[in-house]
Amino acid sequence: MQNTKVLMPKLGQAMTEGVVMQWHRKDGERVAAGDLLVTVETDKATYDLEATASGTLHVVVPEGEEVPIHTVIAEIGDAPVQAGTASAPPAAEPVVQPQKASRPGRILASPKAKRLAAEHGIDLSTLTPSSADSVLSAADVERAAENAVADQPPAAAAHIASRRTERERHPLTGIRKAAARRVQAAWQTIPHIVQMVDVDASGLQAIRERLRTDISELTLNDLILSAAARVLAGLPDLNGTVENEELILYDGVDIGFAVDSPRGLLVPVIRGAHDLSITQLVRERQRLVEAARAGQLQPADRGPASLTVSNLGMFGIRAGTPVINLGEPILVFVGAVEERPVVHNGQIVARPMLTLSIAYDHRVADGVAASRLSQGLKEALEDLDSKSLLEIPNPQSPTPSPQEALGKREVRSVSAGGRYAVQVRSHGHVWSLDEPASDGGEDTGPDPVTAFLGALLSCMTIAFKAAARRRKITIERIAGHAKAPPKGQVKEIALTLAVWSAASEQDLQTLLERAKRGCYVSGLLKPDIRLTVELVRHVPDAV
Amino acid sequence: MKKGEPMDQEQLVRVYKTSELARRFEAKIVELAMAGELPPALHVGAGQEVAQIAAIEALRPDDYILYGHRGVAYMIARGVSLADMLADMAGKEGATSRGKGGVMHVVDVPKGILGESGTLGGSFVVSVGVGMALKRKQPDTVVTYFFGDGTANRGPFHEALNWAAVQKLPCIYFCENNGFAISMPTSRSTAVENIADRAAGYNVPGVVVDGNDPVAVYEVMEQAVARARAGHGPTLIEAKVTRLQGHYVADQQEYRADIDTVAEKDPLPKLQQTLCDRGILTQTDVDDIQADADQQVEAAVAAMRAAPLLAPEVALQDVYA
Amino acid sequence: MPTRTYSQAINDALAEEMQRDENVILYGQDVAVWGGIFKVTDGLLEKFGPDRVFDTPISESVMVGAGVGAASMGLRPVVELQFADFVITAGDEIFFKAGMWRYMHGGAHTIPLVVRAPSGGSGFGPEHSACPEAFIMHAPGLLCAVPSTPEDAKGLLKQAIRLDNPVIYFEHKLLYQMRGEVPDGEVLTPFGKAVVRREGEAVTLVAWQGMLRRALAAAERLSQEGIEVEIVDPRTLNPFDRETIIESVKKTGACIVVEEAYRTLGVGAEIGALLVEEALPYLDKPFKRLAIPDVPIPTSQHLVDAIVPSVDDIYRAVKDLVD
Repeated sequence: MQNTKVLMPKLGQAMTEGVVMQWHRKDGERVAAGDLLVTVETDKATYDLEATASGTLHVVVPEGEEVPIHTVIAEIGDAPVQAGTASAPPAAEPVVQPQKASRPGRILASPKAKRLAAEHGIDLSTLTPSSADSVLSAADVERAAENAVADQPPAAAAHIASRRTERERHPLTGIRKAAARRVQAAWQTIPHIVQMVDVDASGLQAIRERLRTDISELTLNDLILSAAARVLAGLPDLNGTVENEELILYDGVDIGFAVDSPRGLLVPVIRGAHDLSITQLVRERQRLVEAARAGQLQPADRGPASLTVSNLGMFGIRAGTPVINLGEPILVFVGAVEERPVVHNGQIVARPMLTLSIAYDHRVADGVAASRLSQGLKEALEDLDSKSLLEIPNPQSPTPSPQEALGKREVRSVSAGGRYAVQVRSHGHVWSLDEPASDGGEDTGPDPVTAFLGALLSCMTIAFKAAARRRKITIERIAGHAKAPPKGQVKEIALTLAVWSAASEQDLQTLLERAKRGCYVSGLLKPDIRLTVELVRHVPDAV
Repeated sequence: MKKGEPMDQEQLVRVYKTSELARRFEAKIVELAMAGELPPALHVGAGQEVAQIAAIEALRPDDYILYGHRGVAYMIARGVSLADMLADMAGKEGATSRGKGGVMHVVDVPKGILGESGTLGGSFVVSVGVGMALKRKQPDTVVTYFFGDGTANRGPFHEALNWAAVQKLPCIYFCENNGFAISMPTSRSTAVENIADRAAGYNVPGVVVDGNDPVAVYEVMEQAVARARAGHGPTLIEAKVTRLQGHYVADQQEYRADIDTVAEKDPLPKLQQTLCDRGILTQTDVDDIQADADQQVEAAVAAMRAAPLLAPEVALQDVYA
Repeated sequence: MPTRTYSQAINDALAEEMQRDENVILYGQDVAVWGGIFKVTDGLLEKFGPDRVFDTPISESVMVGAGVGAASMGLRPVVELQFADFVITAGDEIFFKAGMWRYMHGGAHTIPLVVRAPSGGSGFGPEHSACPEAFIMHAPGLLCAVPSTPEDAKGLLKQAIRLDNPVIYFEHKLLYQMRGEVPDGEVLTPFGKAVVRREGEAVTLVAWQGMLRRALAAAERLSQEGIEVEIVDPRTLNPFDRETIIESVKKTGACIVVEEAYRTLGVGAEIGALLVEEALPYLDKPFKRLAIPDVPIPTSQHLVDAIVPSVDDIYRAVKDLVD
């Protein structure tokens, strides 16, 4: 009978490796199903695994070693342990060393591997092929991207180290090793920009005092978490990450915060923080802190977050250049609140001030976009309103919901500061409208009339195609043009649809009549606005 | 074969007029080709045009033709625009084949001109399909394929005549035997004396006629057309014709023994003489006809020169319907 | 859903289209009285009469050439060549007349012609066993269908008859007796839309007709070993659905084309070139072809087996690539 294998579990989406912390039973001991077997640790938390079968325990991976997920760490049963089961595929030694000597300067890699390496910023010459043909594969690059840490210290560092008297040497394990790897990957792959903004904390302090009578556990940091969540919810373009040259935007705002635990620094996440009242947020924060300290954070309690707040104010730090957590776009570093001389109404006065040092992933946020959050957060913190803090921001969803449920024909908009630019959001789409610089805007999107012309033209096109679909008429292509006078009130709009189809002119004209009736957007026009729609027929040449 | 309806005077004059126009038009094309204005891509039909035009005179406007590489008289007889054919050569707007076929593949379906195969004699097989379609969709119309004696030695000749005969298709096969397959004399390339002798192999009538005599050509065509319209199937006509010039524009015809005497066989001056002798045309009429032909040719050249070149993207069009 | 054989599906398609459009005519050697040497057209003469279903002499040139002439004059001929190899016998008529007659005459003609060409198989010898679709794919003006199932046999043929362009429709001889579901009612398969016959991540196999069946058998075996291959059936080679193959290769990073034809400059060569031109950044493994080495196809079965890609060959090629 075959032994039952004990595997390193995958305890979260981001988990790729885990550390065997402690075997609770000894190698060779008999165990029964349900016995506490082993404690494993990921970068964020520890887990106790129970035996799933009865029999003799054969420990494969000793304590302190880190292995990839799904690696066999032990077997339970009476059959001998098969050699080689311990070595996980990614750790396998290359069968053949690359023959670099024969082709100096040329690195053999598959085209896909080259593309991935370029995307991850990985130098192919640092990799070793795992396949017998000595050609680097996509899997080699992906593995390297996951590890994203050089196993060898740089040569220069090694040289210096050799001239110093070495006292002790400790291999990094567990959380420290994982944290080191993640922070290095973050530093290497995320182009950081940091903005620092001073916040007058007097309002913040006052509000905390006022609310503390009802919420005794309320901290200054809770107010910052809440404000950050609400400001970010209004800037959906910043709630995203860049992966493989794609910008991925997320619904809902999840806020991470750092907690010092016996196992090191952990970052639990408050899900849907933008939809929580301050009371709900404090309760959730307390739960997470306790879980983190007890090593009982669940996978759903951990990152990645939309934004993480790190507060080292208690150590008197004023500002810093924080490193963003891997997989997240923003980290808000909160400095100490201190009395500083500030100029207020022409007088130098002492005010309680704090500095926010906010790091952004520059691929997600350009300087202007980042400034919107920095400025918005400052304004929100200086003008906190206890009433709105106590309310649940989205009354339709009394329970926190990570998904914002916007239906069809429902949009939200937000426009920050003194700018014209308006961001519009529907379910799953975000776009901007603005005015050109000549009209006082910044041209971050089309002006509203132009955008409307786009909607009108698209609606007419879609209605035309829908009519064609119903009549089973094949339309190869439609090119449209819409134009209104460039200035002032719109009184007339001219639309042209150029249609490539083998169908007769008469059939197409019939479709156009249907399309005019089916186009709801044109129905939004006032009756005194003259709308002309012209059809131009092209007979397609190809099949 | 019983004799067909004789040609009337009006028809004969029309054959003469059209022949003069074709002769002068082709001469102009050669002139422009030698001057480098047009590509030298015409196989001149001079000498054969009288037979071609007389044969077409026996067809109705709703009949169809496929033709060979010997001149453009067929098209002129069916009323295709001279300027469009020049545009075919020049690759300009108006070209009937939109720059794809040149003057070898002039096409005008409404005028019954269905086109021409690039491979010699390649239209034999196409004509069978045209006949099949006419029989089913346009009964009482016929298709005539004009071909040279050289192409009669290709396999499609055999496959087409056999199957057209079996199906009794409304097809007329009109061979213009000018004695040469490019440079090779028929006597060296062909085992039978007359191409029409092969008709026996397909159980269809085979008729030899003097291609320099338009009246005789018209008569045999008239008979063949009547037979085809009546559903009795194809006829193989062989007109012994005179090729006055080389295979292509710059062909010096060193291979030709009759080079010094061939001009004497030219049917066009003979036709003109006959019409004058019989008092049908006066010398003034002839002068007017020739002047009118020259004027039409000059107008066509002017129109071709004024037309723009076809756009490059036309090269990508017309592959698929 | 009713099941039909591939052969019955073709017969159904012909009968339905002839019923629908009186311009459709069917001819070829032995197709009428005898019902075709592979019996595909059995019973159609009785249904539609000798004016629309008729036998021809052994004259491939005029069979196809007349098809072009008839099509240009408004008929919709369906011509059966007894063996697909004979597209070469009627080369002038296929490549020049069907493929170029329209272009050469500036679009004056439309050629709604279908040439049915039974391909593949073995035991017929070098001039009767080929799958010459690469010749057709190479030539301008000719559409090319390679149905692999009874449903597609019916849907592609019905669509082909309705298209206004010449279609060379390859019927694989070894598929004639294959049985499969064919939906009730009108079945029309679009040209230029490949279908993914099996989904997987390990490698993209492109195969059709006889080789598709072998690819599917190999995939079943590989699946038992945990290797899931994706199989793309192009269904038509012109128009050719580049997107489906490229999308699949983006997923798998590897591609093997299996074809029952000569290796050099075959359909596989074209697909390889396409991937290099348009999908190189997604290729993680060398592109591979399984095809007949460049020799004629012999008559003896065991010699044919020695050169035509087998289930084992496909299985091994995938294993070699993914290991």
